[in-house]
Amino acid sequence: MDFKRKYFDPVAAGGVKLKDGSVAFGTGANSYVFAEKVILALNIALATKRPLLVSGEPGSGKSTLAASIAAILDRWYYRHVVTSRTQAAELLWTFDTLKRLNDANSDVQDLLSKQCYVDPGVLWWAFNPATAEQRGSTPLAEGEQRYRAADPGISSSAKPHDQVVVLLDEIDKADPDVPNDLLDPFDRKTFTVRETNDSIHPVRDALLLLTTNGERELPPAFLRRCVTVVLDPPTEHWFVEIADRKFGVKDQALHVSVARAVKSLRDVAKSSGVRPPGTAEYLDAVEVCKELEITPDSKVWGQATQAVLWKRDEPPVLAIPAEPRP
Amino acid sequence: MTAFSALLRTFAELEPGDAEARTAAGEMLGVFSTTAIPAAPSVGAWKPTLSEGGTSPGSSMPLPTLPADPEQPRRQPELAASAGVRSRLTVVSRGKAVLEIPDWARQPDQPLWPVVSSPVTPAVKPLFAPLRRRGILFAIVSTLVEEGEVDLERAVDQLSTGAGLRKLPRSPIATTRRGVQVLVDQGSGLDPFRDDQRQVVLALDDLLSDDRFEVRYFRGCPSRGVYAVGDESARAWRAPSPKTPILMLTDLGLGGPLFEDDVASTGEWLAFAARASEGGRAILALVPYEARRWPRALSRAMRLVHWSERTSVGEVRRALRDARRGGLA
Repeated sequence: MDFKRKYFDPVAAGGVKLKDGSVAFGTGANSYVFAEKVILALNIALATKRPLLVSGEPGSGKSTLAASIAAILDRWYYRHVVTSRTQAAELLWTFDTLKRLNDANSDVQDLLSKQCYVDPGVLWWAFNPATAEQRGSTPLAEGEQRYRAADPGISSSAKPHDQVVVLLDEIDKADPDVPNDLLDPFDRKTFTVRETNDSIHPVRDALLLLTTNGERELPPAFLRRCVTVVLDPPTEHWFVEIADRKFGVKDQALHVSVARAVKSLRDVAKSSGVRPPGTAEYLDAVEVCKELEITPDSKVWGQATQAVLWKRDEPPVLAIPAEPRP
Repeated sequence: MTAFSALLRTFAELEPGDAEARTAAGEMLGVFSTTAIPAAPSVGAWKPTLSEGGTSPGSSMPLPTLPADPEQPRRQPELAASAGVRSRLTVVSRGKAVLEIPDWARQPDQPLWPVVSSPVTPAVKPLFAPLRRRGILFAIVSTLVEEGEVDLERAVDQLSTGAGLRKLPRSPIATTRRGVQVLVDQGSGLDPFRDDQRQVVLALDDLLSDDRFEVRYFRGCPSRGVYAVGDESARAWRAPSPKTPILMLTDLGLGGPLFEDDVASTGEWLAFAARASEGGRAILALVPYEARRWPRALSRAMRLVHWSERTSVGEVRRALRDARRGGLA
């Protein structure tokens, strides 16, 4: 695809362009192979300042995408896993009313200022980490400095960043109204902590990534506000490329063998209607085989495969030839 | 920024140089709607998909084929509700009156008039309009959890007694996290509503997580046994987890032919409702017949909602609120 990689260019950041146009980037845990359409989607999301909604089969690399983007763009990275209990407001802040009440009734603990009971959410940290650390726009009192909040963000470098990547993982787990509700604080960015009447203004720019497993339909209004991209199912080549990046090419033949096993198991899993093993399981299997010196010829290969890749009672019957990578 | 202006901005900034990149950009921004978010493969509970056959837009999901009663030939449920209206007349032999059945009606599985085959059957207007369906179903299957704002009034009340607070009272909020068990009535009284049943099941599938969504089919009353898709024979009905609502798409035996074996008595329904509501489960039924025809005893045992074109979200909420006030879960 021919387009300007104006905002996101993994090749310029040191990635290697592969034959199919995808780009392999990084080594170790943050290695990732970016398909061309993912690079396009990211450029669109950054150009239009819209959230990027990532969908695709389990194991296609949805959740690991955000960390790799943060590494390439050299941004702080925040992650929040959405559950069926998640409410949009908690992404900004929560207030520990019960602890405050408990402190008020305690003979031991002094009642602290209200600010100490404010717990900043992931979007507050993303927009304005300095105020999040102080739990408000004004610094905590001298005697309450020990109640400063800890930044949950992750950064590959120590330097301060004025841009961040925020991942809201598995948005389809939340109740139907939550997706729309959470885009509102993301759009407005400025918000007021109700309990302390404290206004918080953004000082950082955030790229919001959301992932969905397609477990339930997302509201049309929400989809309209997002840039959407569907990740392709992982291929053997994709698995091997990830393993080569993470572990090096020394044991490439093993990477290929395990990739074949995963591919076969994915096919069996899909036809059986169970969750197929993904990238995480593949990398676990490669690591296990390396550490325990297990190969497809080993007697324990079947047991190891079942334990790390299949994870079900009945072992699948698979014949995995150990051939070198073409 | 509208999707179109976002596309213009994308073209200006990223200068897509080929049709593939331009088309992909349009799809990603929702301007060209050719890319759908794929649904995850079904795991665990049966999940209907749009690719499972059917000819009309409303009949895209097949119902399961139920086994015939060995003692009495029984019509199989249609796989697609596109073959016209079927009818069956029953001879009453135990009383004095015997119905004279004309020859044309002696073949119960034949439609009353020739079916003109057509590649696409016109969709019947659904009972729940698509724009309201999601809101209505959310109101029906959502349950209340006390996880909203702190309920100061209740907190002050409790503190005023001097007993202290063991748990901070919070206002209730609606959630679908508990999922739902859907029980679909296959009785012949529901024949005119097969498409509506399918549409409700599909809409619920979109609304709920796969692992919290279970669909079973029954005749008469679920306590007689239920079927999942692909089942050869009926299995005993099993209650879902405590507090998981149970939604029935049923006519409570109000429709269909007289003297139908499949019709369960009010007592049988009441026994089922009593058993199903153990564990704090809300029992709801969408009934396509007017409230004045509902057995009064059942109205007190389960939440009945009129399934009609006139049903609104507000009406459903009022009905459910009234049921709660009446002591139902």
